[in-house]
Amino acid sequence: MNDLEQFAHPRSVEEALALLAAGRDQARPLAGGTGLVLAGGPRARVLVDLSRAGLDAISLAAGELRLGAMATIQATARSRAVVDAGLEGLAEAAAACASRLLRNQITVGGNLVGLRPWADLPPMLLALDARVRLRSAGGEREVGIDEFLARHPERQLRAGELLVEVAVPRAGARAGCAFLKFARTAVDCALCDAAAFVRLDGGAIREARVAVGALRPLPQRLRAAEAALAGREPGEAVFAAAGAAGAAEAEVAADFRASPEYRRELCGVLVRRVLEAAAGRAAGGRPS
Amino acid sequence: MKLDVRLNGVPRTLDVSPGAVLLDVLRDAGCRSVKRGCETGDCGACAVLVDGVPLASCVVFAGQVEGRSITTVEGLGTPDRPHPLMEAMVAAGAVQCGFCAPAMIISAKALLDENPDPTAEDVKHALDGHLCRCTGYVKQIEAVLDAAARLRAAAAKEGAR
Repeated sequence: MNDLEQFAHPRSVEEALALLAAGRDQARPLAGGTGLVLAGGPRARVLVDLSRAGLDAISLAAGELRLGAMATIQATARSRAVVDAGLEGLAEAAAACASRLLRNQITVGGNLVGLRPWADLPPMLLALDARVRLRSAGGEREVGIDEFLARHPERQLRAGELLVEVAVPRAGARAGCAFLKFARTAVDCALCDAAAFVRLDGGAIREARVAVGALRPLPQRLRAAEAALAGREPGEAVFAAAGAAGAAEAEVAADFRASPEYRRELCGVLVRRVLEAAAGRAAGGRPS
Repeated sequence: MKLDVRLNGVPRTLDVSPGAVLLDVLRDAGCRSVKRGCETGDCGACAVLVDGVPLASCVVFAGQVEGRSITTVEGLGTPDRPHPLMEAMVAAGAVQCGFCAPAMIISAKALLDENPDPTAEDVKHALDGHLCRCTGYVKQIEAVLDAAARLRAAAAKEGAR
């Protein structure tokens, strides 16, 4: 199955896009590479290694944090810009991924496009209402993370198209986010991930987004949990109700790691806890 | 295909198959400290430094490191002239069968290059991808903290000259 003949190391996105366009179905992009090595190599003649194409920056713009597609998970976990954007939950999700060795290699873009059910970053990006920027030789388009993760992201990309950047809105005033992973060991695949974003207005919750991962092949937003929060005053009972609503609505698949009943139970508990953490940060009085 | 790398400080041109994995290429090049454990990125025994960053070489295509500097334990010290991390691992009894030790030293080297005075918690995080089935994990943490102290003392002595 391994037809690989060569690697290309483009120095810019434009060069990478040109190589992909010229290679047609015989060239494919390479991010960190973990997934492709484990898959036994690509069904392509040329791998276009994006690691030198200038896509690894993490920067703060006016309203958003910008994660270059080739920024590593470790760089995201340790980025000052992530914290400055009020996105501590994003740093938590990145730090929860696998081990240091793999965080040094896995990239933000690879974690999304090569999506695995237990990937930790995607549910957090769902809760943060991120947008992904895709480029091809023909131009650029932006897709909301909800839409991007509605099917496997690999199938969302058109021929010759690259994920170049993930844009995450800054938390802003009276808002906070948090992430929790539950696994058998700190470096094991998640059995359930929970991510939340909460914005307060006066004493009430004005905006809340909740997402979970590792329960089925794709991460999912929990809209019933969100509905249980809207307009309510944050507190133990409200978070417990949201957790119960989330556990009831979540789609849960079975695999050898845990039964669906166990995962559903985890989902309720983690959603409650992650909401407490996010709301605690929102109430913490971060300057606008 | 040809692969140009700097391996333990020496420029090398290696002849590799395009789909080759870095672990195999390094072992074929004589770096037997790089261990084949799980081959899925989970055990950490194959860790090497690529431009100073520790990676699990079993999940890296050799083609990805074109032009990069690779460091294995062979590049850090020898039995006659051991690196302080090696001395500290032996002194702490952090090595039994020895299979995991070279890669742990590699990750510890990256940590100490970045942070000469780490806490035990920093060490745990830096070594979180390494499995040891003999000793447990306490002695390696002691060893890295001891090596950090040795290196700081050596640097202070150097600075005083």
